[in-house]
Parts: sequence; structure tokens; C-alpha cells
Amino acid sequence: MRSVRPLQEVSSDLALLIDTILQYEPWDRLLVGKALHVYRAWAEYAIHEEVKIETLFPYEPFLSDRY
Amino acid sequence: MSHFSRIDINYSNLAEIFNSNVGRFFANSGTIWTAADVFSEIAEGASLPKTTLQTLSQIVTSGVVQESYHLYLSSSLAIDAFSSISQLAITLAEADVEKLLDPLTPLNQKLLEVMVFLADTEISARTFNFWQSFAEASVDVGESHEGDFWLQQVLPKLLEKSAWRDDLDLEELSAYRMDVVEVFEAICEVLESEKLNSAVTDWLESASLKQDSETKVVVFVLMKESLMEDS
Repeated sequence: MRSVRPLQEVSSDLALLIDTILQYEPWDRLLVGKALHVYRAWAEYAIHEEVKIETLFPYEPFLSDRY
Repeated sequence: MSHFSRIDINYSNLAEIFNSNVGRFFANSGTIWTAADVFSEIAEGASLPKTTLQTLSQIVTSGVVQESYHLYLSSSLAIDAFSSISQLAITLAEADVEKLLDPLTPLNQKLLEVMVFLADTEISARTFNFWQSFAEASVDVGESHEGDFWLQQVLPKLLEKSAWRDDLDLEELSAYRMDVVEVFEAICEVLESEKLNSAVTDWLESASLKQDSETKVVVFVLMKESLMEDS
């Protein structure tokens, strides 16, 4: 039976991988484009699961008065 | 409570990486259009952090929308690319439609200029929701009709887009005309009759000066009818 890795680990690994991709200059445009699509999928998944916005972006104040 | 908040995943890293690189994605010609697509879709579904929204607003008001349209017109850019960056601008404007006039900051003013510009392009119809909401929201701002200036700017552009032309697809034009009606209604409810008449008459006059004889005939009939109603 295959073991399933905890989601937290996968999420952290993905963050690490994408951070590494973005550090290489000049960018591999195709790879960065794919990374952006991963981000979209991740955000869609989180939105679908109704994760609270404060959980998604805990480091930012939210209710924006306009700049 | 969602499954994810229960097990307390650290979401922040992934979001933080992308949000802290927003400027870089848009400064790179190889990633700008994908980034526009992705951030536009995410912004539609969820609130983005304030700093990210600010960066995105500064990007779409930097002239990139207008520039990409001119590149599209000269066949140097695909319509999809222009459409992506424009959709991002529309999403940002719609998200803050009630705050754009209150106060009218330089950034808000630029965003409204972009929206007026887009009303005059191939994706004009995508701005309808925004202009309808803007007209409705402008009623609640002060007593000085601060939104009027913008509605007077966009009205002739929507009229122009609604006008019949030989080179237009009849089905597309009919759909445009059907959908634009609600925007016209919203604008008519806000603009005083004097301003409304002035904007429409100005447009009719400019249309009558065009070379297209068929347009002239239609315009003269409209103007004659309008004059008869006034008398």
C-alpha cells in the first residue's frame, strides 16, 4: 500500500522548488510559466476548499482601504 | 470549517513567494501574459493582499494596456495577450468600483482612464459590468456628480461601438447592442439631461461629419427626430 505524504510537506516542498526556480537568472520562461499555473491551481483549490483568506495570506492586512 | 484549516497547513510560503515576485513576472516579456491571466483569475476568486493589489494596479495603469493594444493593432501581439492584461485591469477596477471616486486618487484616475480606453476596443463589452456598477456607485459619492466626467467620456465610445458599420459581424453587433442597453440605462439615470443631451448630440455631430454616407443618413434622421421632440 502506498503511503500518502502529508499535505503540509508537499506544500512546503513546492514552495521551496518554486523559490529555487525563481532564483535562477535569466528565468526559464517556460518553467516560470508552469510555476504560475501551479500557483493558480493551488489558489483555486484553496478557494474551492473555502480556506479562510487570513489563512492564505496571514502576513498581510486585508480589508484594503485603497492605497 | 474546511479540511485544510483543520490540519493547519502552512499556506503562506507559496503565496508569499508569488506575491513577492509580482513585479518580476510582469517585467519579463516571457511571463507577463501568463502572469496577467493567473493573477486576474485569482483576484476574481479571492482577495489578494493589499501590497499585491497595489503592485498590480500600478502595472495595469503604467500604459501597458494601451501599449499592448497598439501592438495588437500592428499585428505584433496576439489578441489573447492584450485580452489577458486588459482582463486584469477590468478585474481590479471591478473589485474596487465603489471606492474609485472616494477619493479619486491619481492611481484611481489612471485606472478609470484605462477603463475608458478599453470601452473603445474589441473587448469593449467586457467593460459593461464595470460601467454599470460605476454609474450606480457614483450616485452615492458626494453631491458634486464626480462620476459624470467619466460617464460623459465613456458614453460616446459606447455609442460609437453600437453604431452599424459595414465591416461588423451582424450577430456580434446585435449582441453588443442588447448588452449595452443596461449600461445606457444606468448612465441615463445618473447624468442630468443637459449633460446627456450634450454628450449624445456631440457624438451625432461628429458621426455626421464622417465620410460614410449611410451613417450620415441615419444620423440626420436621428437629429431631425431629436429636434422635433425638443420643439
